[in-house]
Amino acid sequence: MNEIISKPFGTALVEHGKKHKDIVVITNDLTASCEADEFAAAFPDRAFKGGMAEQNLALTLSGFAREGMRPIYPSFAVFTTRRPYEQIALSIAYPNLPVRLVGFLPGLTTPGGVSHQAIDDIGLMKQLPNMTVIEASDATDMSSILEETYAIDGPVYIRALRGLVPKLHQSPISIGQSREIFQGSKVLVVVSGSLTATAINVVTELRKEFSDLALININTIKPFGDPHLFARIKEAQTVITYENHLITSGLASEVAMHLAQNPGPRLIPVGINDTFTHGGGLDYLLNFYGIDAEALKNAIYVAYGKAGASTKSSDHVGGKIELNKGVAEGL
Amino acid sequence: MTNKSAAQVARDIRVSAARWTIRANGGYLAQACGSAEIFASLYCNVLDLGPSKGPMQPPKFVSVPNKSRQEINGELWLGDGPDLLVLSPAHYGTAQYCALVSIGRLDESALVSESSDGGLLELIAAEHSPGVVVSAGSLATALGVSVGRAMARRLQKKAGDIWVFLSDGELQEGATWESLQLASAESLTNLKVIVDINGMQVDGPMKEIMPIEPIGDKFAAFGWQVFEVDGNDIDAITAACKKAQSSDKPAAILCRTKPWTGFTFLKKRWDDKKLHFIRLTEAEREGLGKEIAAS
Repeated sequence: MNEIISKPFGTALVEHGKKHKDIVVITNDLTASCEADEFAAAFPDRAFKGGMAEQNLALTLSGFAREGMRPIYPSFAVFTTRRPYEQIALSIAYPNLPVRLVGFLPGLTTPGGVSHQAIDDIGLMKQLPNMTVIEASDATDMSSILEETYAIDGPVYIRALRGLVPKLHQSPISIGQSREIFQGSKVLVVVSGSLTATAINVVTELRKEFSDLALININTIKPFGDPHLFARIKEAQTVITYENHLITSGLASEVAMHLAQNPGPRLIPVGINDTFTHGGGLDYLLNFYGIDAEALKNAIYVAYGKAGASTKSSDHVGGKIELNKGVAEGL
Repeated sequence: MTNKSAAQVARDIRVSAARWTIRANGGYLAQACGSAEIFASLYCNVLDLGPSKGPMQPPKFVSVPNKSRQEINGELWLGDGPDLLVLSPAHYGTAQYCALVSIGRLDESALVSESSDGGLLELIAAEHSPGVVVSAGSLATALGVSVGRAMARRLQKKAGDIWVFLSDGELQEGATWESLQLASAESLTNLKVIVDINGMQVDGPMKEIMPIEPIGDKFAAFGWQVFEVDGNDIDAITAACKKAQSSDKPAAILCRTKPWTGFTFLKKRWDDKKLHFIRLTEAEREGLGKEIAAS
């Protein structure tokens, strides 16, 4: 069982504020929901409420950055990225300003339905020139990401985890460096973000059957170019990507672009496949959209030439919708 | 459409929403409690909706909209008009479902059976949810859609009004004002807005987070006819809506509501500034259960 850390981002944000006087935090209406309340209490002069007015808020971030400060905007990922997209593109990304956009509730991790599920946030952010895109996979990542990205002199999008977050990694996040969790030669699983814990469990289990099954965790979606990862991809016969995001614009698309230029292994993408999504409990949704542990196992069996049956089910009903108990307010 | 009094419908909404919150261990209860008289007044005294075309027991979720889907549309439960009610803040889905149950458009059992995985009664409603027309969980989107619909209906010479239920939080979004601006420029007399002004947002009281007053003056400055009422007073809401129906400008009924109405612990929540999404403590659950039983 993994250790669980409560509010790693919120704690790190306060430390970050102590260390760097040029940090300001602006929230829309999700201050405690996105763990910025402790920062606001510690540094009331550097915490601002922009209201539910995300387009203007993004422009305000641009203004702070143009005055030499490093503004951070934590919100739910849909409100961090999609709602103020034009403003981010032209007023933050284009002038290459050091703004930190932090998006919580990645993919299907919220029961809040289509309006709250960020299934395209990585795609939206990574296609903006100048933008760095990071996806956190555990509490260690969330504790260390702000310091690690501080020196980046341009905009950074951080796909984030909140509340009670499992600790999977011991060493702090390092931009551009993947984490090799299991080494192997034949089939390589590449995972990012909130599904990393699931991938570790699945690969641990299936390595009893397939000893050359490998697992690598990715945190840097853009720039996508870890030489160690590319070397491992080159060695593999099959690469399985596993992500809580649309496969058309997330991790799978980055690996596909690499493979198109460096032909070798075949790719099996496991992720949300060109559909909008709906609300429900986490286990139900992961199953419905074919990204649960069973879906990954199936992909691994397919990679080893043992056809797996689809576990995607539309008649799974009756589950209770669980909420993250580490979060005080808001979905 | 319903033989119940608006007062009874308002009571039903509160009790059903409270039961939902206990059952799900969380819910948007204060939104339902503050707005119960608004929904009750609209359904019992104001709106001319056709009979529901949706089943009393909603089908299971099949798919989000796509090319091959025979989609279920939340609008079915609101009938064929001439009037239409468009719910903007999707966080009021629970209030809307409970209202539909009370006025006999939805089976009460659906509140239980269809609010978990695979059910259409989503916590933050989408347009497959009964009584929901636009997927507007990202706020301040339904009004603009409604402006377009009102313009189209006028062009098509359709009778009836489009009523948009807004929340005051949505007034913080710039998109709301763009929509109000176009409605005014187009002199849309077939568009009515009813605003639940409960004065709260996730972070706390709106006046402390992002003040939006004076709301009435702002609407008026945008060219709207404004009626301002006690939003928990059915007679006052109804009277204002009747006047709005004959307005020669787009009209807004601003309802000042008390989101703690009905259950004592909500007032303490209001005082503690934690009223947006209710996760009950054990003590709150017990007290709420007793108050429901006594009501």
